[in-house]
Amino acid sequence: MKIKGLILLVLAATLAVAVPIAAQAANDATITITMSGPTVAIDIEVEPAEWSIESVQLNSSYTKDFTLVNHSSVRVDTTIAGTDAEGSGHRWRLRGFPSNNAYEIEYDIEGPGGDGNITTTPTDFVQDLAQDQSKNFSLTVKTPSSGDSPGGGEALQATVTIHAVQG
Amino acid sequence: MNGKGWLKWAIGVLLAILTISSAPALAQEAEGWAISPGEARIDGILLGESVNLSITVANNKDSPLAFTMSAEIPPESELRPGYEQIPDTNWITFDSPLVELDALSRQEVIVTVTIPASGDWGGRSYECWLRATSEAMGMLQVELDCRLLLSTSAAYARGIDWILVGVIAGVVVVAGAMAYSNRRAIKRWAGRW
Repeated sequence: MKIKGLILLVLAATLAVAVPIAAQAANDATITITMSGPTVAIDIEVEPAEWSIESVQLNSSYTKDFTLVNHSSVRVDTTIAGTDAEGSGHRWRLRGFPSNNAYEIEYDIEGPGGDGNITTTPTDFVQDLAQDQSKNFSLTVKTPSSGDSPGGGEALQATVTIHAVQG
Repeated sequence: MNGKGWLKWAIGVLLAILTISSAPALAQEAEGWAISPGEARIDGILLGESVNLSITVANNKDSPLAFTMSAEIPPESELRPGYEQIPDTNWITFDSPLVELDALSRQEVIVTVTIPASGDWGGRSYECWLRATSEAMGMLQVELDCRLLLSTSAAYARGIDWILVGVIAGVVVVAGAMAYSNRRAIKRWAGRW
């Protein structure tokens, strides 16, 4: 009789736990959101799209002009950031001015856009750029005043990232 | 102007309107690469719930292009009013973290948002940026973001509420134990009926 009672108790406790688990298994689902209405696409273009500096030397300056075009259907805000230059066992740190194994990248936006140094942290670049509008800007790389210099066939890779989001 | 003249004039005007209204869309399709939508909003996600949405990455260039997808915490200064930074980008996953597109093609990427069931995440509004990063072209790289605006519900998704399960199990066990210890009294009481 005692054993029967114990079995009943265990059975009741098991049911109390198992029923919600079974219900969870049956109800577990992922909801899919479908969005409709006017589609906004974020689409910016940098012209020219590519920039490579050949035969880079210490204590030198390299400038290139670009155009940023907003092909989006909305206004966009952009930021700009850079990275250290690394490769072939060399490393140039991105700093606010050139020094030993430290290099600098400056931007200069045409008109009232302003100028400044590119850092590894994204900073505001062209703001509130309207649909189908463009902005000219230039980038200047100033190589280290002293330090490691890549030899023939060696290359350093640095990246300037322009980021856009709906304003 | 006779009847046919009016008809020709009306058709001409209609064609002109169609041409003008479709021109910006065509121009938009013809350039660079794009992510859409620019902003997506999901309201009332239950705690413990997963929600899928799709974003599209389009390569409008005449050469192949590769992108990586990621979820990013937006800078505080860029947040939409009323939203706070998403606490953990691990809440967001992509079915295709790497997207390789042929020239003039597009791909839908499924984004899954999962709000953890445990934690103080209910009744809040979070912003996360869904980012497509193009491969670097020399020194240059472009990133495009879709703003994802999330509002969570204070309720739980239908699932295991372990506290409730524990209470139910406890009540059943205690009631069973009481019934067992008083089985003779219960038997007598039942016998009267």
